[in-house]
Amino acid sequence: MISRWFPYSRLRREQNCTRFTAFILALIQALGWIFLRLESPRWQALREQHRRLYPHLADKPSTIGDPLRYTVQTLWLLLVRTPNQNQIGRQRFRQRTARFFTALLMIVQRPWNLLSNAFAHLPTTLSPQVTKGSHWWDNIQWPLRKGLYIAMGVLALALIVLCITEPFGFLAQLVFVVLLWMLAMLVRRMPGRFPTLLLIVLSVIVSCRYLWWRYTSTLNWNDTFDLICGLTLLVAETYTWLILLLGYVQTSWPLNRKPAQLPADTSQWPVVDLLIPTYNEELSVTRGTVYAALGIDWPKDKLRIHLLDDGNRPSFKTFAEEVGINYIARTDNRHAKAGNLNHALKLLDGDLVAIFDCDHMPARSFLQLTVGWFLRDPKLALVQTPHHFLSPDPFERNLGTFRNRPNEGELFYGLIQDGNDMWNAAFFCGSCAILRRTAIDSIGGFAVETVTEDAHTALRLHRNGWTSAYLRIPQAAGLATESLSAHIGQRIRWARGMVQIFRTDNPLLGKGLTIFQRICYTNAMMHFLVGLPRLVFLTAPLAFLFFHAYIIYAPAVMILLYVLPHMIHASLTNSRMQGAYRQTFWGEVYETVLAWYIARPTTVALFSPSRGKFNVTAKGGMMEENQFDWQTAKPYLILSVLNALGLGFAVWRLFYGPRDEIFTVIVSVLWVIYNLLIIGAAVAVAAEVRQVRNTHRVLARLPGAVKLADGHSYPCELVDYSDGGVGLQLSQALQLPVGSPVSLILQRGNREFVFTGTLTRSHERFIGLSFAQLPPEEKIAFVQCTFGRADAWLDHNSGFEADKPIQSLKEILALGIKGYYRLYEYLPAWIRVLAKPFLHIFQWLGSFLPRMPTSTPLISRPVSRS
Amino acid sequence: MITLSLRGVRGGVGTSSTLAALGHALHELGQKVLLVDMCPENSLGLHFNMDLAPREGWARATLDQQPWHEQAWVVEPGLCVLPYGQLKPSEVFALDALLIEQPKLWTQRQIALAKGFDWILFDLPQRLPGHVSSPHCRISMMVINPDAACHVLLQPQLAQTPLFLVNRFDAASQLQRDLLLIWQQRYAHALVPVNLHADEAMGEALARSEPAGRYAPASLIALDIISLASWCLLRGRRPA
Repeated sequence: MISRWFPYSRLRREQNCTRFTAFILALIQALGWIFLRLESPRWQALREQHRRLYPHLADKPSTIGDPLRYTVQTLWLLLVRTPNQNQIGRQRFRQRTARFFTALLMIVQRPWNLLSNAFAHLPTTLSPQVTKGSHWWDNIQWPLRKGLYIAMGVLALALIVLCITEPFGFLAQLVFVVLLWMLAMLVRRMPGRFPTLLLIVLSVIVSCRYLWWRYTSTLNWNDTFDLICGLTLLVAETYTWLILLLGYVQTSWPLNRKPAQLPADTSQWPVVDLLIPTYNEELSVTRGTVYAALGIDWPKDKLRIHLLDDGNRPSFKTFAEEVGINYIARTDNRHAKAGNLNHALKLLDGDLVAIFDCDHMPARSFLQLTVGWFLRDPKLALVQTPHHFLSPDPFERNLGTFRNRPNEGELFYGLIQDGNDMWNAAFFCGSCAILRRTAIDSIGGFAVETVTEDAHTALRLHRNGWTSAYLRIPQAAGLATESLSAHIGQRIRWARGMVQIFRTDNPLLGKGLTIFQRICYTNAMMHFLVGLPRLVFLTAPLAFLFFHAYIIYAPAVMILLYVLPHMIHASLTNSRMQGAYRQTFWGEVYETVLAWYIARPTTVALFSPSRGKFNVTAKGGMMEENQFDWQTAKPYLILSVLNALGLGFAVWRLFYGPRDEIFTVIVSVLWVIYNLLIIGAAVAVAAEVRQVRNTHRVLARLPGAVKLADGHSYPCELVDYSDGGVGLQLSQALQLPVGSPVSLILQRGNREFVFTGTLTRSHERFIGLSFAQLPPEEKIAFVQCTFGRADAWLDHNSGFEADKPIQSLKEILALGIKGYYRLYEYLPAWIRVLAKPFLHIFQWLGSFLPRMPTSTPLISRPVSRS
Repeated sequence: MITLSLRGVRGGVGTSSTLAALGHALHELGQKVLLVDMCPENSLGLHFNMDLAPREGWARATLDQQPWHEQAWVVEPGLCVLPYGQLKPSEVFALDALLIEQPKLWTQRQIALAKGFDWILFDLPQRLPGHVSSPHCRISMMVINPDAACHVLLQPQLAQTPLFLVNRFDAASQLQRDLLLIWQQRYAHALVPVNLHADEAMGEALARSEPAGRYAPASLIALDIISLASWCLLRGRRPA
């Protein structure tokens, strides 16, 4: 009995409390029994719900702080309404209020929905009138029509100039941007390309207006330091504005070219030299490409495959002889890849030259899909196809977005090249492409002056009047770069090369290009100058918080009224144009990761274009364990520390700064927090996830069959494959020991092939086979049945989710927080030891916070008694 | 009602087993099926767990002037087998002569059966021109194996037989792959687009007196037969 009223010994024994704690807690309990009738049914009922009402205290050993925790939680329970299933009345009340609010919302939403639906159906309802109108328009005499065109153009231009330059007060600007925003939201739902153009026009107006305002009324000419900071930011903003506008021109009308039909008579098909340049890549990587190239559907006497080995390795020579392809090596390595290709061209005489990097496996349909255009257009010099990657790049691997989000290259190969193609400006990307021999010869071979020989070669071809084509059908797949540092190294090379071309052979100058070709090339090159402006954006708010520099010399509200519409319209328009290829805000992460690294080489290349050498991209490796790439992440860490310091300054300014600056400080804080989270996302990329497989598994769904040694055959589905094995899903479990021989039957067109492997794993209906010892001809057949299938990469975007800008923003911000958490996990032990007490204090303080009781009581009640 | 016949280009290519499996698969797909044994060997019933060579059958009944349709066996509701019956060799020739004499005999019978069945499948013998030519079928297939003998034998058949069905295909054999490639090149129009794979389950099914699809429903051959049955359904729906 005594243990119930004064549980001192139980607390000592079971909860391991100190003498003092046990005494105090027992005393409180005893006082409770004395003054409150704890044995009464009401108190008993409450005690029964202890676990539900005090969830954080139920399983916790008792400590001295518990009375306070109980008090806080009790107060919380008394003050806050908790979800309680017993009280149906309350639930009903809540439902009623919810319904009321929904009804209230519907008053606004219904007309809006009606309006936007009407807009969405507008093109179909209007089409007869539009057809009639355009018919009428076509019948007008040309001089009159020309006059009308000019008049409309002048009127529209005058209105646009008015919209951009007219200064507004707070209210007028607010009304103006809300009207434009509503228009954009309505137009957004309309299908077709014309509404996209309309969105572009709206976005251009808002952005130009923003920039005009920035130039005319936000610079503080009275203070030199303010002016310098302000001008730096303004230059960076002008750069992004220019890129935005050029991008709109470049991608406003993607061509979506279709393959051209080849003549039925194969004797008219041209002779193709397929070149596989290699330098230091492993033979295992190159083998797959050669096997796939051997499986390309083309008359055997018209396809010659050449292995261009700049590494002069005997193993490659033996391999080439084994499989019966031509081996070309040279004595020096001058001009890297371009030199390698040029050397090979001297020895070859085919009509067309197809080029595949040694890790890009072509599909069997590559030539049949691409060559048709060469026969149709005698001035065509180049057909480029996308670079598709079967393994995750560092972003996809470290952020877990492989196969569910478009990757970094998707925007370029999905949209930009297709947009370029509209203006006859699709350019060569070094691999997965086919060129006309006479065209290359006419410009004196591949360009060797820069480290990106591909784009420079294409520019020269265009200058000489040749045309190019882009076919957005993935017809090859390769390995992505294996680590973040390698990925960045590759991008540095591209950035440096493109800026080199910009300096030495500027597409804006010189002859032979159309205005749109100039725009497309300029955008492609200017795009890589993003490093410095991005760094400016990541540090700009600090100029105010640290040094009290008025970088934008205007009231904070006005800044918001100008800058938010500029950003929102750009996001809406880009979400519509690029949503399928790059989700909103992901570009920020990609740019932030690269910004620091490309800033220096591009600036150097801009001033002294001859410096810099060719570095080969390392691909297809392993990462033994999870690790954090400190070397790569260093700049972001410095940036995040700076921004965190900025937050500290902001707190100081909030308390001690002038009253009228509070709003400016808040806007700066929001900017800094956004920067911190974007940098956090970049940090998350630097936490490298381990990659243990030497060969990458490609997910697939292909019909097949297995044949066992005893002659029984079973249908199966091929669920994944790599160059060393496959994973199969059977319709019923087979009881087979690991190591037993199993043959896989695969179809290619209406032919069938059998591959004998050994069973490596078997789990219920899933089995894995390994093909370690296939003879060369079977390896060729295997690659043709898997990697080389014509449709192998067509559905790579089936797992992508649709772009929702707000959702995307949330994801990026969550990614930023995750980045800092990952950083903590990888910190050196001594820092974590130092940080631990602080974390403990936070945790300890957090333990006093009240909790929401769980809504379902743990005591189960019968659902129904009837 | 659709009529279909299978005939081997030579003996032992697996005609009866395929016909039994196909009948079973069509029945599984919801069709009412009658299988008619046109071979004097009289062994089709064996695939449905019936006695080997039953005395009674349509041939016996026809010679004896008995009602032929009373000889059919119901294996399952909607799946019936009509055996041939036991005949002496001389009787077989007499029946063959009778069938040549009355070419409309089976056509009339087919019309009489139209109400009761969606499909009538005939297992045709090698020789016996009367037996072979008597049923007029919408779909007539000749069963071949991918081997050199069949390659030689099918040449003279090309003119008469509209369709060839490849049975016991083993993709591991280079010879078989090559032969199939030649046939796909030369006789693309005449080749049934479904190849039946060599599968141990087919032989075991006969040993168990069951059609393959019933004995080993998860096997590759069962899937092949289902594909063949689906192809037949589509082909049968096409206007003649």
